[in-house]
Amino acid sequence: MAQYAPLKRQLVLVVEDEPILRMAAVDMVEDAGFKAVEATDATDAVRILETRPDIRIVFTDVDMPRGVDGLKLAALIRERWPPIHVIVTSGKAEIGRMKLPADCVFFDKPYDERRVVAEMHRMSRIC
Amino acid sequence: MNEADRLDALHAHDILDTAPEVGFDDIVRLAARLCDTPVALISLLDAERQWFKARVGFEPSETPIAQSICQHAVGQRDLLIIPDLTLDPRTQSNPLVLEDPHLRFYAGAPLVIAEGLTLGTICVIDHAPRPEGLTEVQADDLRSLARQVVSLLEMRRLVSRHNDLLLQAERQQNKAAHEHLELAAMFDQVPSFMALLKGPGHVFNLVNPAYLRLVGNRQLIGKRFAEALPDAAEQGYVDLLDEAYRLGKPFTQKGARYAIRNDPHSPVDERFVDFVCQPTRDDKGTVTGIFIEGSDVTEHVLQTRRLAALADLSEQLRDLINADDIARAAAECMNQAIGGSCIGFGKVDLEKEEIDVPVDWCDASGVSVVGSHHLRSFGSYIEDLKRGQTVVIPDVKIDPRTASQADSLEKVHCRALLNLPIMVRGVLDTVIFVLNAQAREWTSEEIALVRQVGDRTHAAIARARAEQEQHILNEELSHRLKNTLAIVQAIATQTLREVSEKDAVTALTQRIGALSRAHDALLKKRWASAALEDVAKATLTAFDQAGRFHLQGPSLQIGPRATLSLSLLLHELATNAVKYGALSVPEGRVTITWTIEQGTEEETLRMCWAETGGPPVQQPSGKGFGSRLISMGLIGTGGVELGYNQDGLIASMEAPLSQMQQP
Repeated sequence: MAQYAPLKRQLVLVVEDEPILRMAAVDMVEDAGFKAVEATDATDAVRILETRPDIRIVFTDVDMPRGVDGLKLAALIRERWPPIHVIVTSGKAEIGRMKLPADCVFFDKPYDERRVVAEMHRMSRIC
Repeated sequence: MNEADRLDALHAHDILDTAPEVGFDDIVRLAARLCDTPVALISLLDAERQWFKARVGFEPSETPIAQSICQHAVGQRDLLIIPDLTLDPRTQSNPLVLEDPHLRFYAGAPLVIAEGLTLGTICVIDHAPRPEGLTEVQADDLRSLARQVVSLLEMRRLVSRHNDLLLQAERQQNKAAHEHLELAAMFDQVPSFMALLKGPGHVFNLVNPAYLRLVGNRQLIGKRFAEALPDAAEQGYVDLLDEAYRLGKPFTQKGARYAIRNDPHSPVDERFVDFVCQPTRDDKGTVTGIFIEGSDVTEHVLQTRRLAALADLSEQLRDLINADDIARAAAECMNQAIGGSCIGFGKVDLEKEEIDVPVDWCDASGVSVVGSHHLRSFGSYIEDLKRGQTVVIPDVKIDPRTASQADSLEKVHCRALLNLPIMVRGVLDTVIFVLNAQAREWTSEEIALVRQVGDRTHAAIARARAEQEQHILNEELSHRLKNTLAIVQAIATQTLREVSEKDAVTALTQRIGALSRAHDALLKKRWASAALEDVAKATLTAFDQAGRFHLQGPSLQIGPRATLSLSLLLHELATNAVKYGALSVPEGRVTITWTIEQGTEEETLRMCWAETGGPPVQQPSGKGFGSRLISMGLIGTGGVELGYNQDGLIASMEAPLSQMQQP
């Protein structure tokens, strides 16, 4: 699916609590020519973001255990790391109709990988 | 002159069977003496008998007409004299002659009245024959006495008629007096109010108790309308009277509002009346006053208003799902239907025993109670509310639940109150209240209305809650289902990672996606049905070609099975269109139309997928899963025709509507 291979692979943080889904998402990200970093929940994700300033895209689930959900994570990122692009995904279709933080893109679960990848490529070009 | 006229005249004298009278008795005595006979009679000839008004020397008071000798005198102008009754053929076989008392001589003078009719005779009778009859003098005397009898009869008749007239007059008078009393009683007792106004100043001349009740027992008689009822004057009623008086024409009003206020400090009593103002006139036709008659229709107007408010509430409750909105609608309904100084509702915090009032409606005599209040500070009736009982207090100073707190209630202008508890899961949640600045006897209709409002409100809250719970459950189910589908998709991609045919993997994951979106469309209607247009849009949005699909058709709900098969079908058609058909070139378009056709036996849904502006298409050679999905049609049983036209693919699909909508 990768249309071109960037010289230095950009980092995408995948936040997903369900292992199989996380595995598939990591594969999708890697196949698209990015380098994937994994987090199992929002707290984990914040810890990684604090140590890896080179992360440019966050791909996160909404429903996750332990407090902070994907929407709050997106809002937090918008506040603390404004340049990072955020992609949100959820099985709750109504989230797509809610107001999301600026520059957040939503994909309904199960998502079409090609469309998610296309969005990641678009984001990587404008960063 | 026939016998009937004669009998009518006799009966008109009203003398038969009357008691003896001195005048007539004297005459027979005189006749017997003058004619020197033992017997003298005044005999009146009835149809079947002769009856004696006066008699001497003869015992029976009447005899059958067949034994009457006098009857032979009828039609005679002068005396009938029979010297020997045993010799005369008319009398010789008469029992009175043959047997006791053995009558022998008869002389009778007819009693001829003014009309020429003979009512009877005055006669003298002897037990011995008198061949010589009567002397000239005696005959003359008997004639004179007959005239006397006739004039006595006549006089008697006149006196009796006079008495009749007097009696009649007296009866009339009694009747009139009685009728007057009856009218007066009616005037006093009728439920309608009545008043008679005199002159151009409309001075009260007569009023009935109903009228006094209506205006609050004010002094009216002798006063001008404007002076006696300034409240009514202020509301334009004097202008109406002026006009009725000036034009001399009656006018009527129905349901006219009359806000009664006995004095400027007392509360307004709002009444509704139907009435007619009828000008009265003298003999010459000049208007002299106005008669007012009408009825108090307040209860009817209020009942109509209450019913309208209830109907409004039912209408509103149908669409409300939030408990606060429902309570607000209920309070608004009570405001409209019952009214009061202050009406509102508040959420109850049972632990703190506090009520928080977010909004209320007040009239001029009320003060707003918006804010938080401790319920105990208004009395002990919170215990009733907790049990779900409606609290009805006509006077807070008297009711034992509030008497001790009457002062704090007075601060919020509350002298009477109605509280309706709204229970949620059997626990007091909200109170709807009506406060009144004056003591108020809540009518049974008002209390019934409050109960009805309560029932409807409870039902609405229960329904809203059930709907909400159902919605949450549906969302949760949908979420789980889609997560499972996402995992299935992930397992499929992971499993097929090493497969070189990537298109097949993509087709699989996208079909799973189409299935998932069909569930979204179903979720909106709780998996019972989905709007056909929503299903098509949800499926087609995955292709990011929104502007190139054109959808047209009536709004239509389809069942869950049809939703799933239609989603998969549209997904395959769109996938093919993107790969090989109209959507593979920028100018291509797809038009999707559907119609319902009325067949002979059932309705049919026809759907057409028409591609235009694309490259020429050809029937695919193979028979892959995609082609088979398409050929299964709208409900999985076929009914699809594919046209591979120069212009683009045309897919015509049809299915019975009943099957499309099958739950």
